[in-house]
Amino acid sequence: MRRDGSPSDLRAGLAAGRRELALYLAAGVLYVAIGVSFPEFMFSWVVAAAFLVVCVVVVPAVVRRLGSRERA
Amino acid sequence: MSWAAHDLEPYVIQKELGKRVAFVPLLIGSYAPDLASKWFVYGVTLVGVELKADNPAQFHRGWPGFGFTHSLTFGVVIGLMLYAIWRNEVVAYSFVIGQWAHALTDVGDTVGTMLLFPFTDHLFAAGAWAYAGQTGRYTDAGAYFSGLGFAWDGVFVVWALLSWRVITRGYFRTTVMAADPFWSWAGRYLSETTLVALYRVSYFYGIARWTAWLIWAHVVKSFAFDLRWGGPRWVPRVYARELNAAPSCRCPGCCSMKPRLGFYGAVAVCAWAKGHSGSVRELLRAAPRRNRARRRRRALKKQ
Repeated sequence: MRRDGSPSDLRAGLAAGRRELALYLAAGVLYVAIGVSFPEFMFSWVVAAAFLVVCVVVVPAVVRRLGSRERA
Repeated sequence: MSWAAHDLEPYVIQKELGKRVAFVPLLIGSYAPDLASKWFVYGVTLVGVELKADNPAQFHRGWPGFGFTHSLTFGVVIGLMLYAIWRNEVVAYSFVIGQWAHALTDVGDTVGTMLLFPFTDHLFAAGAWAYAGQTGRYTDAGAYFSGLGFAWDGVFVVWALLSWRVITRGYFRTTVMAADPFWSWAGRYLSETTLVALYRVSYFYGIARWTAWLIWAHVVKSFAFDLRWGGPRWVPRVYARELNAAPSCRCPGCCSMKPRLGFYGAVAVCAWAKGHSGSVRELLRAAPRRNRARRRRRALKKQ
């Protein structure tokens, strides 16, 4: 770990947040696919922010909750 | 105008300046020049009424118009206002840095920006890619991603990817949160995962949008690439000389753009920098000694 809080190298960084990176990459691929099909979607920063929060925060939280309910 | 550079510049600057900048004002500064004017450049339809500037380029970059938002002075004025409100100099100058980055990046197109407004309404333009905002946002997108503009944005995409450390959670916790009061305030209402996602939005937006527009322009549509200076030539372009009163401007800013004055100015700046730099001064002092030593060695060889 460096003084600024970032990992010492790329490999360490990837190892620390592999699941998170996969989520962001999936969100990116989905965003590009929607954007290419409906370019209007790409004009708004607010839409992009909402999309990202839904993809990397809301959906995983819902999936986690559903998973824990099933287990219970 | 740039399509992805303004999203990614703040991350690149954040990487260089670390705790010395506050990210949110930096980002807002980077978007500020277009915040109030871009919608009117492309036009919007509200309740069946189309709202659009008669002369989009003049409105966006010129004077009279909203071109003053792309001047360096605008950043300083808003920065001073932010300082008056929050009494936090980091917030104030972070905004100024972001706004200046935007104003300087937009110099790249054929219209350029009034950098030195209100001292002059001269538009400083490198003319590397076509300004085509007046053609509507889809043609503008197609033109931008077919000329050197997309390459310029590509530089920022690569630079941002190389600055990957700034989007890590550890960096956010240790550096970004420590320097920017916004995040500790937002942290009272949102989880850290949401805060990190919000911090990464513009990074995500810039890179994903750059990729998507490229695919849209050249796979879905078939806009022709034209990487010549000032291109693409197939789109109707607007030039700086068509706006404001640029040709008759005699202010020092415009005059210094003339090659000879510019050259003299550059020499004067170099001379001043050399005179003020301790290391350079030492180097200059050491140089004659080195020459003396060289001369002595040559003389010894001759003997």
